[in-house]
Amino acid sequence: MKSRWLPFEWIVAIRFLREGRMQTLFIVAGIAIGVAVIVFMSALLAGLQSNFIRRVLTAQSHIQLLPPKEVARALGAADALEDAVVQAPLQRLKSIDQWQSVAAQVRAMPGVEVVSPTASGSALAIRGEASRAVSVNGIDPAQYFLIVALPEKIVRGSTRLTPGDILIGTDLASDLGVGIGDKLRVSSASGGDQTLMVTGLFDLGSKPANQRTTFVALRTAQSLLGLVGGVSSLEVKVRDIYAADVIAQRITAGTGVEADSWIATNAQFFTAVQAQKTSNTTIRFFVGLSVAFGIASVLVVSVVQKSREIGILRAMGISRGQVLRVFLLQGGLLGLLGSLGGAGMGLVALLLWQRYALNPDGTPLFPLAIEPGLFVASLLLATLTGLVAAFAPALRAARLDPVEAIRG
Amino acid sequence: MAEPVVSLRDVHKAFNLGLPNETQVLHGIDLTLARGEFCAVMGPSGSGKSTLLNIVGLLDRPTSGSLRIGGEETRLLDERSLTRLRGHNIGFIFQYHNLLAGFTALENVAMPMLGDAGFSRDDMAQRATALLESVGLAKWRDSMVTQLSGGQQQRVAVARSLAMDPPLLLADEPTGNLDTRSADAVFELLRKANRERGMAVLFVTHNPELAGRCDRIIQVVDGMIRD
Repeated sequence: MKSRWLPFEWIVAIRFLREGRMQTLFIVAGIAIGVAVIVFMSALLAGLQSNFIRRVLTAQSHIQLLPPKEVARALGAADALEDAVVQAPLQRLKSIDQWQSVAAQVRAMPGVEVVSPTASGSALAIRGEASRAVSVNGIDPAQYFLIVALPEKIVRGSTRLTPGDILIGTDLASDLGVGIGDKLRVSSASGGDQTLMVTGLFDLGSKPANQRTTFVALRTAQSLLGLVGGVSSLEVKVRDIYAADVIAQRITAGTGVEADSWIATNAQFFTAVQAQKTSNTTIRFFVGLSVAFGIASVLVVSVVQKSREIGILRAMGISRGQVLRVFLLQGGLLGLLGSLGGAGMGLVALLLWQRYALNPDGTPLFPLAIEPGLFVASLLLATLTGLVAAFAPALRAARLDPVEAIRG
Repeated sequence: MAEPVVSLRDVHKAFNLGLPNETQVLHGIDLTLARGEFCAVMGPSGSGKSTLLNIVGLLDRPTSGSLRIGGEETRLLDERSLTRLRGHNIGFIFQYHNLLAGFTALENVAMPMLGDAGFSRDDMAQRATALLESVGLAKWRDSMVTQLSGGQQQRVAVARSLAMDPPLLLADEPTGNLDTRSADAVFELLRKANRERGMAVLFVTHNPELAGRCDRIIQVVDGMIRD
């Protein structure tokens, strides 16, 4: 007996919804479909996006600090020579000035997680009569592996990088006919020449990268490339990958060293990501709008249908505010019920996608982002949409003249 | 002398005021209803009986004049205060019972209490049950009102009008749609509430026999009262 007495507004709102059973059923189904579309699309796009980003950032740091480029200047005053032709200078491999203090400064900046020095340059990898042009990356494994998850890419051997070791891509290994434990001569243009032992083979997921990329210890690269004690770049990992652009600007301003974020170096890709986000938001907006109009139209009809009841309630001493709340609640409840159904439908669709959308090797096409936060946000958003959509009909109900309403 | 339950002084009501189709419905009504008084209101259709009841019931405002409910002048009260005053002081019974269709008899009777914060859930249930018993419908308390006969529905409406124990009952032709037996039963219920609870009743009817059983009869003719 006691449990049947919910607050007045709840009892009347629920009963009004129950009375218009078909109406309620159809609008709840409509909301559910809208919410299911939002949930499915959001998870799909979030998965797609994180998959893209994961691929892009697999072999790349979030921010890269580079030494300033060499600029040729005309001697004397700018106007002293007419039609002076200034040739673009050659960009020699050089170190970031005072890189240790720059690294310490960057490491102390908010949002920065890891800073790793790298000495990179071109060289020839030679095995017998075969040789291949490669990119030599001298790294400090302890720091660098926190930025680029190279150990995850190792398909044979280990990540051991003592001064005499080298890690190479699977395609380079195949081109040169080397395996784990084999020796490889690496010779650079600056005259550096070392024989290194292959300790690991990696697969970066891209043939050109697997043919050209090699990793050696920082000191090995410094000596090979003629950068003794120096580094050609500082690789930075930040906490929020989307804040990389802002942090890069802050680094340049604070240290005077040029810093490029992954957003700037992958501008085209990032534009695509932004376009995806915008289209997703647009779809959400229009689905939300159609849900709102659906709820509002059902409630407008309900106000007309229930005007006599509203008049009776007003005659019994029910206030305008209470009538307003009855209809707001109906809107909120429609939104909540629809979004619960929609979240369920969306989840089922996502699970089906995960099960049936597979690569030829049977692995998922890409991992979906099925996060509880998405479902909670959808529930809250739909309920809020219901409340907002109900406001105009609710106001109309509250303003009904009881005499006119009872008279019908 | 005790304060009258209702007091109207020179009440006028016009519709479409200031427009070419302005209609004067009430012309200077003076009416006082004492506690425990059972007053029949008669008059031809369109004479202004329902308008008078709507004004006394605070569902409509007079164009001019004074209306006091329980001694409180209502002219300057805002919407919220009028609603509160109506909820606590006035019970309504309409010709077409006007119950809430999607609710049980018990819920209909409890509805005025449910909308008021001053009742505990137990109080509401006990009180609504007792009221249904008093109108002989305890057996149907959990039935949907649409399952009840016209006479039973009007008895539920009487029970509902008593829920807040108001000092004033306004009944707008409550027996107009009922057969003689049911009409008599409903009238007796109102008479009983009037005698046992001391409620003042304003009872609009076209039935001279029922009007003759009231303490007093007023005739509303062309928007004016003739006792």
